[in-house]
Parts: sequence; structure tokens; C-alpha cells
Amino acid sequence: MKRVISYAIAVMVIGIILPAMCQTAAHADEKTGGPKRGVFPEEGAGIHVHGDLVISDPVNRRGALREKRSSPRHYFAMLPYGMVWYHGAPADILNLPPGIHMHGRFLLPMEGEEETIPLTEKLIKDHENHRYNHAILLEDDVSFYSRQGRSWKVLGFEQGGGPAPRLKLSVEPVGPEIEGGINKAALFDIDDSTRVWKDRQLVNKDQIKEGMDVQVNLTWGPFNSLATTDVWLDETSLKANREIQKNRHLKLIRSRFLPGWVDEVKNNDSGGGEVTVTFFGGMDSSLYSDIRKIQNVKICNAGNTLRTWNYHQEHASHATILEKNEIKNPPLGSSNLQIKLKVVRMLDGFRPGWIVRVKGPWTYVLLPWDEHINSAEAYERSKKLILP
Amino acid sequence: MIVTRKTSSFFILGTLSTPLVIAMITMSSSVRSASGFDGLDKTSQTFLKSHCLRCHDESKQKGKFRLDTLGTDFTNPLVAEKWDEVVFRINAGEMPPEKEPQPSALEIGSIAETLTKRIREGTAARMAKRGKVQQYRLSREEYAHTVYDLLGVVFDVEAPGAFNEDPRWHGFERIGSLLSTSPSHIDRYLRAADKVIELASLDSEPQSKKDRKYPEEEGKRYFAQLGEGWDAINLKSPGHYRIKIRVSGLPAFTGRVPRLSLWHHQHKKSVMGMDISNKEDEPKTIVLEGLFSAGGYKILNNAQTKKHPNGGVIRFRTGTIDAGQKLASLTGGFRSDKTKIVDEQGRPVMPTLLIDWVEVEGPLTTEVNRAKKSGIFPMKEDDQEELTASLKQFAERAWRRTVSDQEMQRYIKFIAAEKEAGVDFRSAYKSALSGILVSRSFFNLEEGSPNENRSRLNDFELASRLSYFLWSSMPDEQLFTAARTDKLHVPETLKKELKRMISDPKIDRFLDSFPRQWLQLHRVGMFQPDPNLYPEYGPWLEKSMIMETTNYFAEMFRNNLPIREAVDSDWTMLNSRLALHYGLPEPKETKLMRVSLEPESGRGGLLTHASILSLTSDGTRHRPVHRGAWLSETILAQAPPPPPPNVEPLEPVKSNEPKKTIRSQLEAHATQSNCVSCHAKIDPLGLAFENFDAIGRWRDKEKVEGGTGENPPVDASGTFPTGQKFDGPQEFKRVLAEDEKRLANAFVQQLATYALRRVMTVDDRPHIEKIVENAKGGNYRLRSMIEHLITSELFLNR
Repeated sequence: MKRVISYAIAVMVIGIILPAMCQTAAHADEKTGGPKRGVFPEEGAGIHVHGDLVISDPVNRRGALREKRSSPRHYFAMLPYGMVWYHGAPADILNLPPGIHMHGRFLLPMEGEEETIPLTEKLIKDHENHRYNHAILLEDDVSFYSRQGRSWKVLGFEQGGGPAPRLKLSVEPVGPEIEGGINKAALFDIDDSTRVWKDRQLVNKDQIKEGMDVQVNLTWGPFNSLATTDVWLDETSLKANREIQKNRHLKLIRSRFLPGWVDEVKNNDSGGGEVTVTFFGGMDSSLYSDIRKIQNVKICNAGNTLRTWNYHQEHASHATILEKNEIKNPPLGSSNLQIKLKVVRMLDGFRPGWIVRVKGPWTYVLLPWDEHINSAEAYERSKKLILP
Repeated sequence: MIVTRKTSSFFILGTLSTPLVIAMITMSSSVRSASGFDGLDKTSQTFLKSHCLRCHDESKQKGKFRLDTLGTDFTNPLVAEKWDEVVFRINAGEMPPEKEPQPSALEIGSIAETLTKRIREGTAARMAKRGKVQQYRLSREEYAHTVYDLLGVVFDVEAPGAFNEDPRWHGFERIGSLLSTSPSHIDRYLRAADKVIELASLDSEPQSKKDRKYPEEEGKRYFAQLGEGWDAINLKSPGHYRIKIRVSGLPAFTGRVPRLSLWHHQHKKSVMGMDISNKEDEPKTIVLEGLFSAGGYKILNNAQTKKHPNGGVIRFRTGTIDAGQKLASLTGGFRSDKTKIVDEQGRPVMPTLLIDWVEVEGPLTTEVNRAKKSGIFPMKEDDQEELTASLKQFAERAWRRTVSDQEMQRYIKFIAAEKEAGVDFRSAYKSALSGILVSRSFFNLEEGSPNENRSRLNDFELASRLSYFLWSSMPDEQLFTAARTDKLHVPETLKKELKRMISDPKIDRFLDSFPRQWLQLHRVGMFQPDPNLYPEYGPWLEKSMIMETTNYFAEMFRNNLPIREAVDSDWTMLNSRLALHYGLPEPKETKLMRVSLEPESGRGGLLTHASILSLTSDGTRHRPVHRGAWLSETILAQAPPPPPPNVEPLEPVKSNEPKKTIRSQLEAHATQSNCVSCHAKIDPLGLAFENFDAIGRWRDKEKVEGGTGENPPVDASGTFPTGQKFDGPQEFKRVLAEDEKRLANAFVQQLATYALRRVMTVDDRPHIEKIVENAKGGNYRLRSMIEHLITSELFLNR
């Protein structure tokens, strides 16, 4: 299982950047406020939040985590450059099953987004950390722990007692101590609803042997326990799940285009002009490579939710890539690719700090109508989290 | 088999068809004694004898072609055609063959030039040939002006199915030999005449109305970005209208001002407009008044949008807002996916029009126009005398001459026959009036008499020549009166009439039409500049370019400036769009106006107008040789010989080669012996303007697509064919302007071609030289030259 860990570290780009960030205290944000438009947050900004994903709005990339049975929901919005990881691969809210236990790096709201997540004075008084509700990172347990070089050593099974007796998987951590993580021996509920992965197959839980290095994904369990949803027994099984998620991610981005934001604009008084775009990070590297290979793209504007208006005709502009610049040591949220485009149409949304999506050499597909901001009403609704 | 009997120049013909036999016999009359080439200069004779006759004489006819018996009467089309073939072969380098002794480049250039000149003189003589009665059909523009001046009726000659565009000869649209009359023309004239008479009938005069239209409702405001507009006007009938528009014009962040124009949907062109620049909280009411065709109009910002690279049309932004809403508030929100309206500082990205309302009043009937129609219908239906008098009066004005009672008889009989057939009098009378308008005396200018050989114009013919020259229309009553009293041809009368005609607003027709035709401005935008290379090029810039040139000419004319200012001056006519294009300060007013130029502006004179510099370009790059050829043809009235066939085009600079200018590519290209001599004369005229790109912008370096390294610096120096050197456009213009006599001679040739509606020939040269000589004392001033032209023998004769 050590090989599983080392592979996970290798494939996760963010793993290089995040450890340093996590060590910084959240109070630094109090002075500087939330992230500014067009500027990626400073290293170490934000706080660690975890809990089960109990509310999910994939279209607007929002949701809520619930830490404990009795905790209030911690509502959040993904920052435009906020990254989601699932099964060790890039993902989006759309890919996360309800109830999955997630770890997040939450920042104060981005400039102009202060009203997106409604807060009450009482909530702030009782749970001050709910002011941190814009996520730069959201990841499931397997992604969270494996990224930081951690796994679990199986100590054996234990039969629990009490009013709801449950079988427990007894584990102890292997690897470094992690901020926000479980850093001591633990008992996770396990039963026949747990998926146990070995090679590329599902196996019975009796295949879990004492002394094995495993990875787990967790969810809520009775009496504030944590229950396993998945247990990976080897590298092959983890890789297979990661590959599937990666392909789901590729399919998603190729049909919705690669997001980024506008660094600079040069308007032309007869229409068109030049637009410089930095792509957001956390995507599969092949997507950036696709853009690097071509000269002609289409570009459309998007909201902070990454929702686009449409890709058709007047909603997007044909563009030619004039420059491709590599960014050395990009900050968290950024990729290492910046492009300068000559656009045929200068859309209103092409302004510094505003969000765009760029179509690479990918097959054009029509998306479900309600994913787009297709009316003034939809636009208004997209600006605020709608509470269930 | 054809055998030529040398002594008699008589062909014995075998099995040839009769027309060809006649044609060849005609040709044989011009065949002279062998190998003399009598009509040619000595140099050409020597060339032909030493390089051609060895294989193309009596003893040998390679390619079945014999040259020694070919005549030199170039007015004979069959002879001219054979000489054209000779020039073609020599130019193409096919003759003399490689194995034969080769002439020098100079000799080739000389023979090609001489023969081409003679062929063109022959063509000109044929085109200018006049019979006893010569008819020059009116161009469609002249037809429209004539029916307006005759009856006060606006007839839309450009409406679908009306009249076709007229053919051009070197830009001129009124050359009689080209304006032929076909059955289809007659058909169109018939329909046009019916329509014109219908509109002229006072009983069908449309009621004038006044309507105001708001965008959605009062208090709302329509905004339109570049190329966009509001379809707010629909005119049911053509006529005189007054259109008021409450508007604000916000310049782009670059200072570029919006242009409001009325776009006619059916004609696909802007018909009237003005630059607008005022704050959005201070809208103003503008008035556009004039003659309008029927149809739908859009109040357009600029002109039609350019095509999108994928074949669609780029749509910019329009919409309705509250009149009190600031444009700067239109950012973000649900409309973020539309074209940007204001930049990051809240300034309009593009020139933007804000329209509060439009009011259309019309069709207006002025007393002047009503007077034109009065008297064309008799008061009493059964008064034969009055009927004849009314018809005759109308025919005399329409045909622009005296009309005999006998000529009227057919129309009188026609009305009677119609009445007998049950048609009411008014309809029958209208049909007779239509008949007068489809008479060839109406749609043609007629000169000469069928029964006499007359070289002099009579005064009625002179009145028409004068009025169509300066007004593009029929003479007015005062000219008719002068013609009736037979005093018009008197120089003093002509001068007096010229002065009067110049002060009439109708002179604007000449001031627009002549420079367009003379300078071939129809070629501006013929090859649309590539939007990827010249994204700033657009319809309004194109129109502004043309306006600069026509208004420059008008300014020269109104101030009676010397011809030298056509090529070199310290002023020009600019609007804000052109000022932006030239990188010059914006004019004080929004309209096109005269501005002074500093020497370092690089401008001044027609030759540095963007219109002139771009009309010779091909849409991707400037064409120095074409610039030179245009200058030679229009400014110097010397059309260069055509290029040899199969000239390889210039290759784009290869990606692995250093960037190089078009000039250096041309110099490498024009090394073939048969190209050098002509290029030596044409190229310097174009290369002097290397500092200007394909759309007339100043440059110090030539932007080269492809290739490696820096863009190369421009070299605009050169040598005149006289040996005089110049170091750039300014010096070139200065030197050229010094040769005033030559410029004046060329200008008078062009003016006379326009006025006389025919190509100038060798026979006309002495007259032209005399006009130029007479104009010398007045420093070859424009109006003085026109005065000398209309009082010259050339103008007074047929």
C-alpha cells in the first residue's frame, strides 16, 4: 500500500502546494478580507472545514457540509478557481455522491460575493467559522489523506456493543500528522454496504486482512461515528477508480470548456480586441496540452459559478491565440498556462478579473438548458445560494 | 487558300464567307506597299524590319502570319487587332524566337509603347466617331436628375428592376459609344415613363403627413453600436421628405465619433447622414431633408456590418433603455454575453448612437416642384388648340429643343384613337406624355441634323451639353431662353451662364460626379481589405475616404484653386474618422471640413488621400505598380501599355527567409528584359508612395506577413523618367506640381471627356493645348479652365 500512497502523491499537483498553506493561521484573512477579483489568494489563506456533503447544487457549484449530527450546515460556494477532488482525481460537485465526507479549504467570500451565502447574526455568533464559506479546495478522504502521504494500517475488526451494535474496522494512521485529519487510531463502521476494492473488482470485506495499508472514504455513522463507504486494498483498485473519475472530469470540461479569468483586455473601437486569460488550475494536464497545440479557439464568458450563458453564435467569440505563456510556480487556483487571444467579438463579460471559458479542440455538445444562465431570472437566482 | 497579290493588295479568296470577304477587302484598302510601315516612326520601322520580317514577309509566313503587308490605319479594327497580336507576342517574350538575335529591353519597351499608343488612338477615334446625328444616351443618374428637373418627380433609378448600372470607360459613366440602347432599355424606359407621369399628375399627389415614432414608448431611448440601427422609417412613396431625429452621439474611448446615416434596405446603401457628437444628457434634434426613394430605412450608426469570418454577420449591440439611464450602467448582469458597451472606465467602446425619437414629414411638395408640373395638362379636354399647345410645350422641355406641330400630330392622333376606344381623356393624355418620355429625343442627347453635315452645335444642343456637363440634367428656362434667341454660343453669354450655373445648388452634382468618375473612385473598396490584416477598415472609413476626395475637389473648385494643388497642398478635407485614420488632430467640428496640414503630416494633395492610395490595393497589400499606372492614367492622362501576359505573381515571403518589402520583391521580379523598360516609367510613380499602406496609413516600416526578422524600412525614393530624383512622397509631389502645364493638359483632357461624353482623339489635341494655353495666365485655375473649355472650339463643335 506504500506504493499506493507514493503514486497518489505523484499525480496530485496540488499536493506540492497545499501542506505549506495549511499550516498558516486563518486569522491572517481577517486583515486582508476575502480574495480579490483577478488575484489568486495568498498561500495559506483560509481554514480547514470538514463534514458530510448534505446539500449539493452542482449547477452553481455550491453545497453544505455538516460536521456532526447536530451541527448546523456549513454552506459554501466554490470559488471560480476552487478545485474539487474525488477518488484522487479532479472532479466537480456534480461528481460527488450525497453524504460523502469531505475536507475543504474555506476562505472568506470573494470580493463582490459577500451575499452569496446568506448568514444570520446568530450563526456567526455561535459558529464564527461559517463566515469562511468560499472553497478553494474540496476533497474526499481518499484524496485528502493520500495527497498528504497518509494511509491506514488495518489492525483488525471489532464488534461494537450498545444499543446499535456495529462491526468496526480498527485502523491506525501511517504517515505524517495532518491538519484537520484523524491523527490517531480509529474505529470506522463497516458492513455489507461498504464497497471493498481489490484489483479492479469488488470483493467481500473478509478480504481485508490485518496489517494491510488501505485507503478509505467515509460518511456519517450513528452516534457520531464514521462509516466506511469504500475501502481500497491495493494500488490497482485505487488507480482504476481514479481513472474513471479522471475520464468523467475530462468529459465534463471538454463539454463545458476550460475555465480561467481575464488578466488584461485591449478593446478595439470597431469591435473585437485582445484578451489575456490565465486558466484555473486543478484540471487534468491533457486539457492544457490540448490548448497549447492549437491556434483557433472559441471563448465565452461565465459567471463566478462557471455557468455560461450559451456557446452559440453571439454568446461566444471566435478567437485566435496570439501568445502562449508559461507561468512559473503558479499560486494555488492557477494553472501554469496563460494565453493572449485576438477575439472577433468583445463580449461584455471580457473584463479583467471576470470569468471566461475557452473551447479547445473538443467536440461540441449541447448542454441541458438549465445549466446555462438562460434568463434574467436564472441570472438573479444564480447570484445567491437558494436554501433548501 | 489565300494568295496575296503584292502590287494591288488584292486578295483572291477561296471558300471564305461573304462577310469575311467584305471585311478583308475593307482591310486590304489600307494595305500599302510591302515592308514600308509608312505610318510608323523610324525606330519602330527599323525594329520590325530587323526582327520580324525575316519570318513574316512575302517569302516566309511563319505561323501563317505576314507582317510586311499589314497596314497602319489603326482606326480599322481588323488592322488594330493584328497589331495588338504583334504587341502581345513581343511583350510575352515569344517574339523574336530565342534562336534569333534579341532586341534590347529598351527597344522592346519602345516598340510596345509606340504600337499600343497607336492602337489606342485608333480605338479612341472609333469611339469618338460621329455620324450626321449623334446620340448620347443619358446615364441613369442623369435620367433621375432630368425627370426631377422636368417634373419635380423623384424616380428611383436604382430600385430593383429599374435601370442597370451604366458601363464605364476608365471610370467615366457617360461615354456615348458605350451607352448603347437595347430592347431591354426601351422596356425599362416605358415602365419608367408611366411611373414618372403617374407621379407627376397633380390628381395623384400624395398627402403630406407628419409622424413621430418612439422606441417602444415615449421616455425610452434606443441605443445602437457600430453598424447597428433602428428600422424606424418606411416611406410609401418617393419624394421630398423632412426627417427629424432626436439623437445623442457618444464617441468611442478612442475619440471616434458615431456617424448617423439613413440606410436604404432595398438599395443596400446609406443615402444621407452626419457625424454626431453630443452628451447623452443633452440630446439634439437633427434635420435631414431631401429627396428620398420609397422603401424601408434604418437609422444606422456607421454602415453595414462586416462579414464574420465564419460567414455570418457580426451583430453588435442594440436595445431600448430608459432615456435617463446612463450608458455606463450597462455592464455585467444578464447581458454579460452580449457585445461590450462601455469599457472598464465607463467610456463607450465603440461610437454609440442614442435615439429618442424620429419624425418623418412628407412627401413635401414645394411650389417650385408644383410649378414644374403646371401646364402639362390642358384645362379643357375638347380644346384641340390648347391640347396641342400643352403637349408641345411639354415635348420642347423634355426633348430640349424646338418641336414642330407635325411631330406632335402622332400624339394628338393617339389621344383621339384612345378616346374613341373608350379610354377617358386623362388616361389617354397621360399615355401621350409617357410616349414623349420614351422618345429617343428624351433619353438621348442628340447632336447634329439628318439632312446636313454640321460640325457646329446649335444653341439648343449647346444648352444641353452645358447643363449635362455641370448639372447632369436638362437646361433650365434661362438656358432655353438663351438658346431660343440664338445667343448662347456667344462667349460672353456662355461665361455669364457659367457663372450663374456655378452658383446654382445643382452644381453639387458636378462636384460629386466628376471627381468620382475622373479619379475612378468606384474602385475604392472594390477589393475589400482583409479584416484580419486591417480590422479598423469599415464602411464609414471607406465612405469618409471618398468624401475627402470629392470634397477636396469641390473645395478647389469653389475657391478656384490652381491645378497644382490637386497634387500638392498644405490642406485637406477631414472628418474625425479620417483624422483618426491619418493620426491627425480631430477637426473642430463633427462635419467634414477643411483643415491645414503640417509638412510632417505626410499629407496634402489628392495623391496622399486614403481613397487614392487604397483603390489600387488588392485587399491584402499595396500595389505600387498599380498606383503608378493609376497616376499615369488619371493625373497625366497617359495610359501605360498593358502588362505582358502570364506574369508570375509575387510569392509571399517564405517563413524561413528574411522579411522583405514589396519594392525589393518587385525589383527582383522585374528583371526580365520585356518588363524593365515599362516598369522603369510606371514604377517610380507608385513607389513614391511606399510610405502608405494598402489603406492609406502612414508607415516607416513595411509590415510583412511571414518571413524572419524585423519588418523592413520603407524606401520611397526614386527617379522620374526625366532623370530627376526624389526622396519620398513630399518631394515627388513638389516636383510633379511644378509641371503645371502637363497637369493642366491632362486635366482638360479628362474634363473634356466628361463634358463631351466621348474619348479624346489625336484630332482634339490642338484644341486642348489651346485651352491649356489660354488658362496659363490664370495659373491653370480650375474654374478658369472650365470657362476656357466651354468657350473653346472643342466644346462648341460636335
